[in-house]
Amino acid sequence: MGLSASLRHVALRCMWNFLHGLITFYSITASLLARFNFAKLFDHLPGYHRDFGRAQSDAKILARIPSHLGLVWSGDPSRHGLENLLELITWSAGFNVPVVSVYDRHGFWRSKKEEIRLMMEKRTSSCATSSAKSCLQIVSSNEKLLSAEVDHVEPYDFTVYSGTSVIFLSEIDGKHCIAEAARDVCLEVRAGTLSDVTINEGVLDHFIRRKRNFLDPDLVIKIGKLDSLSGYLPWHVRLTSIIFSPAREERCLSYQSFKDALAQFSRVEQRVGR
Amino acid sequence: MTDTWIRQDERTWLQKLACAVIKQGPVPRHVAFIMDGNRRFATSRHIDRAQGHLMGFDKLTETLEWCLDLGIREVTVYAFSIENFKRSAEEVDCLMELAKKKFALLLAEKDKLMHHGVCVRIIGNSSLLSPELQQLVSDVVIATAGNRKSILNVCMPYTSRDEITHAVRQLATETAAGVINPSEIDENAISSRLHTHLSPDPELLIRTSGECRLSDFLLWQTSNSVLSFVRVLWPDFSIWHLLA
Repeated sequence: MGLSASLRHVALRCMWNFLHGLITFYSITASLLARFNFAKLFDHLPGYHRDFGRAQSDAKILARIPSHLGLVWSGDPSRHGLENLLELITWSAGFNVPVVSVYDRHGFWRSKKEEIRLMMEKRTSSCATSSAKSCLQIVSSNEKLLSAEVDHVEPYDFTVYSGTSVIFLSEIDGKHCIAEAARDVCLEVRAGTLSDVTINEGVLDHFIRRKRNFLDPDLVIKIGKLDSLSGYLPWHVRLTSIIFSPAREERCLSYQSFKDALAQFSRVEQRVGR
Repeated sequence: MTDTWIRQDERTWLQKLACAVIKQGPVPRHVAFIMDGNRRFATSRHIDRAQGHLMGFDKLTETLEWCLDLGIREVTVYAFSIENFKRSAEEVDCLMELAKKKFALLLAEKDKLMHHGVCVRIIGNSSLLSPELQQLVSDVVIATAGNRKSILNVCMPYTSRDEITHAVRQLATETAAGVINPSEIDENAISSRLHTHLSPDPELLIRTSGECRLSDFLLWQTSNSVLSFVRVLWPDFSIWHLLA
């Protein structure tokens, strides 16, 4: 390699490093600024009551609320406190979202399920408003939805709950679940109860829903640095609106960003190919 | 407008510099595009929808050239969804006519494709295409099958759920024939029966027009990819959007 080519390579490499340095500096500064939540300085009401009431009032101006909201962590969720998640659940309940799925690849939140349930119960019981209590029935439904014997269980009926149901998901609920459904399809074909030529999207969808019986999410809010769904329900996200939380809020999603995401969703017009 | 698939446009010095700097870092091997916004572009410019689609094709050839320059080895584009058959017969016919013309052009430019080592694959349910288009598509695929330098996957008519269902149906047929045991079915068994089984999963998916959905495109393959929703209509997409 000639001297001029080497110099050119070094110069380009320096520019690349400089650009990356600049981006890193911006990210660090933005995340430091995001830690100062100025709005909280003026909060005097008890946390749950304030969050729930504010969300309930803001919900009235939205034309459409998602039937199933996915909260997807693309990074390491252990960097987030349980309080952050409890806030998100409370806001979702305030906006009257029927189903919230909480997802991270390795099932960190799922492992904290009981702790979350207890903390949520504590929050709701301290609330004086009966409407708030009745609207927020957090259901940890994994036992019924995700057990190994799920084939023998009747489809899970979310409608028995008038409030918000929370389900905890991880990577095994994604491609793995589709593979399980494919296995069931093939078992029926081998048993002669199903013909391979009759298999279509509807049939496969039926088998997948026998495994994970919930509506396709209408909206996913991705939290974390990486702009990826990290393996979240590939079959179910066909028409899902995907909104990335602001990069500066990778540690915690603010109420304003949550409300903006729901407002953006309510304005979405789907053409479905037309 | 340029009537060729293989363009060799001159870059500005700034574009050349930006490309050279970007190439110093890791560059994705496989990028997927949802080319959305041709019709909205046509409406905003008060031109025919057909003209909008034509300009969309022009942008595709330009984008392929940028990708080639950047060292992106494989590009997958969502050209026509199975759901698009729900559009008016007039628009579907217009799109199919455009596809016919462009695949005929591709075949006419076979020497250029061989020179650049471009392999073209058509991904999707080709039985939904007219026999004439099926023949054209098959000629293009066969003519370029041996090329390995860069790969262009054109998804038409395609939806991801249809593709996954096709893979499961194939597994069921193999089960019925006693070729495979249901207990052996896992994620890899499905992956290896998808239309895209010859390609690595895209590292990056770009959708133009500001819509933030996958619209039934490569749901399985992009479940771990980086997603980028760009607020620009496809014919307005520029090299700066790609580099950003």
